[in-house]
Amino acid sequence: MALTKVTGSGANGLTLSSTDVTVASGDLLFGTSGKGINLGVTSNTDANTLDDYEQGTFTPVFASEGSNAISVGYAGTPGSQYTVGSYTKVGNTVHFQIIIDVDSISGGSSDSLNIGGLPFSSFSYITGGNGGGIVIYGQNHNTNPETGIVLGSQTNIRLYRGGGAEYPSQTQDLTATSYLQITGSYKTDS
Amino acid sequence: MGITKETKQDKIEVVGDFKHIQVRTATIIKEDGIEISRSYHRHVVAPDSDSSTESDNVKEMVKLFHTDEVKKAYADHLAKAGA
Repeated sequence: MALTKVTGSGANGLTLSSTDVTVASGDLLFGTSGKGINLGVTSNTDANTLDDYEQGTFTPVFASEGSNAISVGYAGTPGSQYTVGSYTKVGNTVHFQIIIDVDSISGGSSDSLNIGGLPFSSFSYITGGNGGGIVIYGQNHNTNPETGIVLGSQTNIRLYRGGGAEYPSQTQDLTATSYLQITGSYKTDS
Repeated sequence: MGITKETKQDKIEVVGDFKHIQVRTATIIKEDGIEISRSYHRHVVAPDSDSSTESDNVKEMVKLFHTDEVKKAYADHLAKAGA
């Protein structure tokens, strides 16, 4: 099989055959941002273009959805080892994992309990529906949350006690030792 | 030169109907001036967010995009979401 080798600085960096392209080492970079790889098609279509990938962290915080604010202290500064959010964005979908470790709380009420601070604004309900998450592990809540939905055109997750939409978690469900891990995904405008 | 650490907001973008301002902060580690590591941390400034601690660039964008009209539309949206 005839091979074409692209050589730079005395080393073969790229090899082209009749069927494959091989990068000897290192990464594949595009000279223009926003460009991507078309997968599964032979023409350039947006729906088949993988044009965005990013990993990072964000700072999740508990918040009240109602008018009664809460003040929450965290074990470790938010964003540190004990309270942290991490995300992987592939295309327009954001996958997230959140750990929140509370060490003080005041102001609990019957207002809905949210987690704020998601790294990207979500789609609106109309264009994307709700994303959401499942509580992987929760302890020391007065009533443990089980699920959460990502609210449309926001960066907030509304937590639910389980049993359906009529049972949102409340800020008074939190205690000074509440601990929560939640994982999920949602779509974004960006 | 050794190891250096640099933090900068390398992407600020406005998205969606309510002009959410998405801010990406990059932490860049360099060895002898050559980048060896880059990590990202993100936050979003909504129309109802407190922007008093944001960078000057973000504050300028808040001033530009989070108009009274946008703030009202977002407040109305939140009120509906709570229903």
